[in-house]
Amino acid sequence: MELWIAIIALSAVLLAQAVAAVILLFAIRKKQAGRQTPDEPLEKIESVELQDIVYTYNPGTPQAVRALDHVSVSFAPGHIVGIIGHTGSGKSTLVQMLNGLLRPESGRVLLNGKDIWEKPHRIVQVRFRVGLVMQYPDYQRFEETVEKDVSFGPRNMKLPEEEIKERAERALRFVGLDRDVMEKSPFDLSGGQKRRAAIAGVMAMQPDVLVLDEPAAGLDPRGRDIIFEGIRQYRASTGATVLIISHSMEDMASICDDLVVMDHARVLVSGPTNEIFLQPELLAGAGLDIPKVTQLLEMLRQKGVPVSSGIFTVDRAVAELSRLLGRGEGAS
Amino acid sequence: MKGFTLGQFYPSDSIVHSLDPRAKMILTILYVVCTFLCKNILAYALLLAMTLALVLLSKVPLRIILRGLRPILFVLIFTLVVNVFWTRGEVLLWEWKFIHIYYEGVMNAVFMGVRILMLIVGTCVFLTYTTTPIVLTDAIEQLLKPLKVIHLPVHEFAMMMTIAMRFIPTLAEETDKIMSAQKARGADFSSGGLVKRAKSLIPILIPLFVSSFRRADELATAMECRCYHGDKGRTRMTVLHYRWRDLVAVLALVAFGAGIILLNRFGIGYTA
Repeated sequence: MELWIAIIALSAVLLAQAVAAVILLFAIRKKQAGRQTPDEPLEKIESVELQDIVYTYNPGTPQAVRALDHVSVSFAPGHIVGIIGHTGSGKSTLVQMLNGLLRPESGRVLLNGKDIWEKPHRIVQVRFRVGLVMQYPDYQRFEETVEKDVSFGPRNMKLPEEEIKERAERALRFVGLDRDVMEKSPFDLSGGQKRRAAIAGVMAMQPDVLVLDEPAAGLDPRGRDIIFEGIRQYRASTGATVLIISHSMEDMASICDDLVVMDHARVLVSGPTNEIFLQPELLAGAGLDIPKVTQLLEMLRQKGVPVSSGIFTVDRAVAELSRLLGRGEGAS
Repeated sequence: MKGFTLGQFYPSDSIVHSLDPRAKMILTILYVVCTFLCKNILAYALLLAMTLALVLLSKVPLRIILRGLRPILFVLIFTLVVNVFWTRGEVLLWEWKFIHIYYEGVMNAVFMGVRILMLIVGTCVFLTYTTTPIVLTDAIEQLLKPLKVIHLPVHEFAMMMTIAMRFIPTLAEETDKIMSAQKARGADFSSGGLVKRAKSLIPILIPLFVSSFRRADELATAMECRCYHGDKGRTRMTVLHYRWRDLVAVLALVAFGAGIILLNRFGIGYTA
C-alpha cells in the first residue's frame, strides 16, 4: 500500500472520528436522564409488554422518520420470540425500547406491569435485567482479555469478585468458548468467536430477558448453529424470555416459539410460530417469506402429494417425506 | 442520533441553492466584509433587510435558522453584557453603585448583537444550509488551486476533508452504537468525579480507535483498488461552471456593500 494514500485515509478518518466523538459527547451530556445512583436490583422479570409506543428519529426536521407507530405487543414469559420484518420496519428500534436505550415519545414499556421510565435513575437496573446484544457486536471489545471483557457487565452490577468470575465462565460455556480462550485478547479471536464472546458479555449479566439483534448475521452456518444452540441452552437453564431479530425464516422456524411480524413501524401480527407461517400471503405483504422447505412442501401438495401442512423445519420435512415414501404413497 | 448530518443542509430548489459553490464562497467573504462595514443605524437596517431577503430567497424556513442560532445564544448574551456594562461613554443612562450604563454602551451592544447574528445567519445560509459539505470542499480546492504553484498539497488536503466529511455521519452512528452497546452492559458515563468519568470513556474510546484504524486501512486499500493516484490527470464527475446568475449575485452583493458605505455617510443617530 502506498504510504501517502494511507496517510490521507488515516488522517481523514481520525479527523472525522474526532468530530463525531465531540458531537456525541455533547449529546450525552444532554441526553443522560438524571444521575444513576447505586440502587437495589429489580425483582425477576415475569412479563414484558409494550403499550402504544410511538418513536420518531430526528423529530421536527425534514429527515424525521416515524420508526414505531403506536406499537403494542407483549411477550410470553419463558418463550423464545422471533421478531421479523424487512429492513427499516422498526425491529431494532423496538428492542432498544425494552432496556431503555431509547425513550418512547409516548406509550409505556412495562416490565412486571411497571413502567421502566417511572424512575429514570433506575434505568441501569433495567438494563441488567433486560440484556441486549446489539447488531454486529464484534467490534465493541476493549479489554485485554476475553474474560475481563465478558466481566464488564457483571462488574458494573457491582457483584462480588468470585461471582463475576463464575458468571463469566458460565456465559462463555453457553456459547461454546472454552477456558483457553478466556486469557486471549479479544482482538485475536476469529470472527465467529468474537461474536460469541460479545453474546457471552450480555449473558454474563444473567438477564431475565435476553434480546439479540441479528445474532447470526454474517456468520457461517456452523457459527450460526453454535450461537442458536447457546441461546437455547441459556433459556433452558435460566428460564429467561428470549427475543431474537433475524432475517432468516429458517432459523426463526427452528428456534422460535412465537413470532412478531413488523411492517412499516407497526406490528402486523403476532402469535405462535406455526400459526404465523400458515399465512404466507400475510408475510408476503410485509415483504417476508415462509421457510424455503415449507414452500417446497406446499408445491408438492399442489402437485397432489398428500404431505401435511404446518411443517417449517428441514428435520420435520425429512421425517414427513420418509413417512410418505415408507408407505409407498409418495410421488417422486 | 440516527441520520445525523453535519452542517444541516436543507434540501430545496431555491436560487441560492443553485448558485455555484465557488461563487457562494466569494459571496460569503463579501458578505462578511459588508457586516463589518456597517457603522450607523441606517447601514444596519440595510444589512438586516439584505439578510432577510437572502433567507427568503434560500427558502430555508425561519424556524430552522432560529434553531441553528441556539448554540450561539450564550456568546451573544455574553457580548451584550460586556458591551453594556464595560463601555465608557458620555451620556449616562443609569447608575447604581459601581454599575454605570451609558447610551454608547447600549448602542454598541445592540450593533454588536445584530452584527454577530447577521454574520452567523448569512454565512450559514450561504455555506451550510444551501451547500452540501462535499460540494463545498470541491469549491475550496478549486479556489485554492493557485497555491499549488508554491507546492502546497491543496488537492490532498481537499481530498482529506472530503473523506472526513463523508465519514462523520458514519462514525457518529458507529460511536452511538458502541455507546449503546456499552450502556446495555450497564456502563455509566455521567456519574462520579472527573477521573471516574474519564475512565468510563475507555470502553468507548478503545473500540472507536480500533474501528477507525480498521476503516482507514480498508479505505486506503479501496482507494488504491480504484487506482487513486492523486490529482494528476484526474477528471471530475461534476464539473463546476460559473453561470450568469453567479455574476449577478456577486454584483448585487457588491452593490449592497456600496449602499452600506453610502449610508454610513449619513450621520443619523449613534455611529460606531
